[in-house]
Amino acid sequence: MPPLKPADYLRRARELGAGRAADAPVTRLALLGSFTLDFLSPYLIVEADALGVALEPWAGPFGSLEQQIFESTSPLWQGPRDAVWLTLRIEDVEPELARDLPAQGAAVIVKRLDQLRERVVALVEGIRARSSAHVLVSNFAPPPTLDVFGASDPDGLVHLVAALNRELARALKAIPGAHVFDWAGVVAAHGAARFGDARLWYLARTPLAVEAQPVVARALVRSLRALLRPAAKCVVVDLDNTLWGGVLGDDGVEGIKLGDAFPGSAFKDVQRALVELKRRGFLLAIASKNDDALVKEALARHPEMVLRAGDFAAIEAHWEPKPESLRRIAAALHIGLDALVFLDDNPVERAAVRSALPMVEVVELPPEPWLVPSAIAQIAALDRPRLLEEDRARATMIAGDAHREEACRAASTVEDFLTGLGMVAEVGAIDALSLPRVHQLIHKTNQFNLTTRRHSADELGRLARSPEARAVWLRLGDRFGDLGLVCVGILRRVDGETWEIDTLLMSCRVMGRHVEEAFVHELLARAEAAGARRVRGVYRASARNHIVAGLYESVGFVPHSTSGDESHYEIDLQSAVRPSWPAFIRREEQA
Amino acid sequence: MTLEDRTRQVVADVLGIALERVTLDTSHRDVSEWDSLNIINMVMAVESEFGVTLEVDDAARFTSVGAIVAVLRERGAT
Repeated sequence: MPPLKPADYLRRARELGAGRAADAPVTRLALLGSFTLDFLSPYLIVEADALGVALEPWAGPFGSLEQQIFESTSPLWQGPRDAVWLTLRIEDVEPELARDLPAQGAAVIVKRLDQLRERVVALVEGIRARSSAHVLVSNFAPPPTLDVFGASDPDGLVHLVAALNRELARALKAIPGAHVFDWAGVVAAHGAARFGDARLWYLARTPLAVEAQPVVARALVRSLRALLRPAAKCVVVDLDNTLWGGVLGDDGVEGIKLGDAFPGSAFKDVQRALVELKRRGFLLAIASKNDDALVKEALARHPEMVLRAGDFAAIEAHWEPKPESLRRIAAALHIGLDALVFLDDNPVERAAVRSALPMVEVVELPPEPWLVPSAIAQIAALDRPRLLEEDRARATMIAGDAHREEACRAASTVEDFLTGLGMVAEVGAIDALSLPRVHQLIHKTNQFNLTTRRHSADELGRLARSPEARAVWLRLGDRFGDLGLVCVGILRRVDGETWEIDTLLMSCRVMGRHVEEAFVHELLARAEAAGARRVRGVYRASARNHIVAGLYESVGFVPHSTSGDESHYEIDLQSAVRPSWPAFIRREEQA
Repeated sequence: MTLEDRTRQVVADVLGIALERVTLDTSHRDVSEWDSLNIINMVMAVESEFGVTLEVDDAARFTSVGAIVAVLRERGAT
């Protein structure tokens, strides 16, 4: 398809606007900047449509940003706004800056750039104070200067602007809903020399050449889309001629192309790109028409393989249709099909997935292997405005679950499976460090929760310090990864030598591993150490916790009394039927 | 297609009016959409359509379809 010309953008934008139902959901984007933004509207509409976003841009008059933002009667606030793009250029708002640098010196220029940053931050805060719209804020491209050696000077303009951008990012990070739009990056990637058109600047005060307009529009709607929609979670890859060159079944493990010479080097870079995605918190999975054993052998034995079997949360290697593989992968990872991105060199497979599973993001991979790494970088469905520590950790946890399920299928008995997991349980008393997670578990655990008592953080802190109570947690890991803090128990002394389990809960992700037996054992041991001879347990029935109705009896407690929705149990610590610590879980005590 | 017809098409696309309404005589006086913003849009559109480079002053001569055709001829469009 030839690139669209300006007239095509104008016509298609109009058609898209007219073809929209009156009540169809649209994203209303306000454009505010230091230069004419009207020309961008059709480009934004068409490029947004390509990413599945129905966009309704509104371009404010350029300049007079404070009046527009701070006055509630201004045209900006006369319509609803889902997002605002705020874009200022140094050339427009500090036109003399580049020329003043040699005369005034860096210290003065830095001060002026600080003021510019403060102005932008105040504008952003003004928007957020009046609206919940997402705010995308352009960072700054260095203005052109006549000093070709400017970059040699550590206080040269290019470095001062880089520092400004860093401070701007820092300031915006503290404002919810505000994000940097990497204008400087877009200018640099396209090429500053081709970005502007002096004629259009003198004619219409637009700093964008015609060719730069779709470039800016594409980058902006990509950022916008990432703010509006959650990113995909899992990248599903084909193997032959996607992850390596050649066909494994025909060429054998030794014959596939992967290594430091082309084309193997290009495929190695594809694998490196996928490693980066994995480190950024995305799951990887394989959907390949191949022999499973041969695939595992190639992943294990090929010396140039960057990705190994353990890097994939799920591997579907067989001869069944790919849509079926994708369904199984989504089911195994407990994620939606709309959280999958599919990479396959074969257009027929792509078409099959696209038609059977339209919710899957199918990437149009270029046939040239050397273009694939940059095509992966262009996948908008993998954009995330902020990468959280939890994103990385969550991906590892989910991948661990899938490996555990596979290990379960492979083991012949449940005991084999449990032993094979190599579980390690660390136990400890609740302290300031563990309290946030304990509090979170107490408030969100509904099923495996004996009393559903939602203690506040203050209360938990008090219980943790009280000599009349023992507050305990258990953290579980196995050979597939860390599962985190999964059990919470609180014991309170009722009177004399009788203690009661006030709270006992466990995260559902570790059910079926006998961890609860280990934890009850731990609680009883701690009660005993505190001087208890008897421990009472209570089950308070809720709408969600019937699965633990029989728990106390299963671990040796005897029914004591029932009142309303509460059932009371008791265990004599001299009793022979106390639960034992399961042999397949290694116990460690918090240091 | 002739230079004239292609120009009419570009003008129709930019202004968002039916091609039948655009003749060589159509001018800024006849069409309310023919404003300063759309003059720039027409400059950008014809440059891209005909692969020519106009000069800054040429925009001021975008007063009618016929005038645009004359500018384009001067700048080498065929």
